[in-house]
Amino acid sequence: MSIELKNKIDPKGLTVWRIHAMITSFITLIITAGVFVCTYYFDWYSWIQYALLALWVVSAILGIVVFPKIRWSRWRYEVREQEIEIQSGLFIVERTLVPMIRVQHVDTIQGPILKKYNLSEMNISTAATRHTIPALKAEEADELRMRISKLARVAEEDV
Amino acid sequence: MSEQKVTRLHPITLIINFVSQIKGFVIPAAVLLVSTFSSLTFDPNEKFFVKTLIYTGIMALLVILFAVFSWIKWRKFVYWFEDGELRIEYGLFVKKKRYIPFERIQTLNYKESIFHRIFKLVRVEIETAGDSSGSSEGELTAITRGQAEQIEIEMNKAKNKVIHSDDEDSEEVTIEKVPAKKSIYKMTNKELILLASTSSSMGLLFASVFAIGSQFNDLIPYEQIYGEMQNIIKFGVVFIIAIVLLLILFAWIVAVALAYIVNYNFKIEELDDKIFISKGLLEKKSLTMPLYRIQGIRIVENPIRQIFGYCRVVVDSAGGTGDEKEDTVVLLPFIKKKEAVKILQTLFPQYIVEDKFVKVPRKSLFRYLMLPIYFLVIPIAAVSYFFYPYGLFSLIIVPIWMIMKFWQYKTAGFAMTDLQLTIVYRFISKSTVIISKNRIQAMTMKQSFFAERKDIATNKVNIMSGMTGFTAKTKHFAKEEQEKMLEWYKPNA
Repeated sequence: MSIELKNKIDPKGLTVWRIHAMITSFITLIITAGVFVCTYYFDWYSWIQYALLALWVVSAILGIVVFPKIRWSRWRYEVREQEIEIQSGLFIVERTLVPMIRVQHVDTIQGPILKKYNLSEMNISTAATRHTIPALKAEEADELRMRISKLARVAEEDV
Repeated sequence: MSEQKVTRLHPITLIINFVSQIKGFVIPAAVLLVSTFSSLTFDPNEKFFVKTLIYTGIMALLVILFAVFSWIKWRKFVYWFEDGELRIEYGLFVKKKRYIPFERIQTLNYKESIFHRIFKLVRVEIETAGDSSGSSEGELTAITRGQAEQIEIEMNKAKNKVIHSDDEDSEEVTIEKVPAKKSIYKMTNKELILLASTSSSMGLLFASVFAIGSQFNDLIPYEQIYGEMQNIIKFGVVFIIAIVLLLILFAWIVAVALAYIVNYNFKIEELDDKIFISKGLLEKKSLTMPLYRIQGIRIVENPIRQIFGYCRVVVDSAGGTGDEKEDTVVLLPFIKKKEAVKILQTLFPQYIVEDKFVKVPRKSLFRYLMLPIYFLVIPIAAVSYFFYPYGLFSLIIVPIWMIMKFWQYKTAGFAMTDLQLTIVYRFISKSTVIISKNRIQAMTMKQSFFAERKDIATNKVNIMSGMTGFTAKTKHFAKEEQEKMLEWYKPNA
């Protein structure tokens, strides 16, 4: 990984990831609570509930606080004339190279949470793969989408 | 061109449609029949007489209904050629029209079932370029070979017209005969039989038969019937061994016979940058594949075949070209590797079969042996714990696993030329993947925290293959080499 890629994703993306993680944590918390209720009424082994609770606490801390931070700092991208490069990962860092000629279409998605923070997710599709840039400012994403589709049209088969 | 000669499918379509419709109905009917058989009667005095009449009545009605439907369906299905298009009209209640422009037709696939063979007919599947669903755009259930040829002639005519449209009357073109195809490869009987006996499914079959065989030891309670029964049991054991051996022999014969029937008369021909593959004894299948659709070539050698220098060649093709909606098309089912290389050379002169590869560095051996270790440890631990002490026998897997992993380490390699990337890897079978640079859709280098400290990385190469795509990996090579590959792939480099 000789040269670091230029662009990072929007800092608000981190907040969005944390909100997502909180929602999943909340759901798992409900399940954990369900186990507590079952333990009370059906005499399950009590260690199950405590183990589950401990597991929940650890996963919530990691999922809400630690992991998004690492992921966010890892995530980088750069769109050049001939190619797109994306770097992502948590423990395993992946760096993907997509030549412009291979890009078939680009689309942006905006869910309710992303919308609240004025962000967009961008997906770049080739004939066989799909690559995501998860959080960009909405205007920036639109601009980038236009730019990529223009570059993709210009790029010519060189072989 | 208003009054066109309309062609109907061969009447045998009626029977084919009828059989395919009634297929789904046979099992419930059989169940009903068997469950009520004892009470059915045609004696008017019996109390089940009315019921019997109703049952048989309903069945007869359904059969007649299906027959009538098949007949209408056959009557309503017509096709003709008009304005450089193949026009199909069909529909039982709702009339459907499908017009396929000839120049859009990519391939015509022919299939012949037993029904077809008796009357010298073919089933034609029409595939077009924009066809992403994997199924064919149009299907003619049964037409004569002459009619099929007519479609091909019309197609060539239309395609020629597009190229030089200002030509005088196209009447001359009609006479044009389909040029002869160049034969590339024909499978010999020896290859056919060897193919069947060395396929990996045979290995699996042997393993399962032995596994079942060994179970007999547990099933038979020797201790209880020990003593005077001893002789009988001895006889029994011999008997069981004989049966197991017979089973193996039988399975082998069945496998050979199946492979023989499926791959009988396997041959490849070439014409106009298209490959024609045909095979089959009872059901003849032919497949047309334009060369430009090919995304990658894979030479696969399973361990047994590798020892004898044989291999299998499959190609990845874009779109659903395969007859069974497969992602890959088997180009050469079973062939000496040297022969395969020669054939590949004639079909794809732009590809080179490499023999010098960048190998995995020594420092990665540990990774090959140990990752992913949980695949091994968790099941063994679980089995050993729950089936203690017999579960400990599962530890036998450890050395086998390690040998396999070491073999993978030894096999892995890759090589690059100007426009081509070759990746060799092994799971159990050794695969050599040959891809040209402009077919690679994306490339990814990945590195874990620990790998980073050792300067080791893994690359993923994505190509298109059927609907899903195929990923080749170069696992745990020196980071330096992987970066070279990425640099090679960069468009402006």
